[in-house]
Amino acid sequence: MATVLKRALQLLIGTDPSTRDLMYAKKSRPLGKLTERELLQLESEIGAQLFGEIPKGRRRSFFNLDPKTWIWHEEWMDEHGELQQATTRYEVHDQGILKVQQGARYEFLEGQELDNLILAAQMYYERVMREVYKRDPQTGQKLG
Amino acid sequence: MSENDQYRIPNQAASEETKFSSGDEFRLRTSTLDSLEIVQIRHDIYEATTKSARQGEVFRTPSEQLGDLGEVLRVVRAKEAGMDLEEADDLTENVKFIHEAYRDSKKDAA
Repeated sequence: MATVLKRALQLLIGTDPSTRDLMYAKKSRPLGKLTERELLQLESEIGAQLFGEIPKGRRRSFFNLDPKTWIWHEEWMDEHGELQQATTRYEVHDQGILKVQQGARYEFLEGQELDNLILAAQMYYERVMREVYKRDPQTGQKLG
Repeated sequence: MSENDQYRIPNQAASEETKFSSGDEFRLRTSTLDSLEIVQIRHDIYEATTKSARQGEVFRTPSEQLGDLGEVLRVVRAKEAGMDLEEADDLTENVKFIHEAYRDSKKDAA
């Protein structure tokens, strides 16, 4: 998972987020805080589980990068043993949700695909709020 | 909506070839794609999300809906970035536990 998110973030923001290492290296973190990037990784671990079993040899990330961007990233080995990866960026625009894929392909989502994305985002939000942040998704208040 | 209802969501292979204009057409055209993932939404999660969506009296466009969720997450994420070490480690352990429980529940369901 760390590799997947790292690659996805590298693609998107051009940095090297060694988040997992930082997360478990508690004694090496003098400030003792999780960064937003590390929190994104925790969120992504939940996002990756929203779509059922992941086929063997395939890695997936699905997460909310910022208020205007949702990311789907997958990696797998092809029949020649070469690593393949694909990133889809869903951009929130006033006129709709723009789906951006490699190869300069752009299209506004519609129909079933749009419905599925909204539902997936709602599931992501519900689970991330409860399981990562321990907050009520409806009120934002800390759960007891 | 039954416990076993399944939703299909486009994965990379499907989305590269298919434009999903209708549910029936989507299911028909993608049923032969081995790599297609099937989303199995637990009934309680589905109910929670759809119920919360229905509670809003003001219509929200898809962009507004996704933007709202993203904005709340941005704020919460920023707030939580200030958590102390003990809380952070507890959180990590908690997430690992939840993941294990979730996997177990899926095995049980299967």
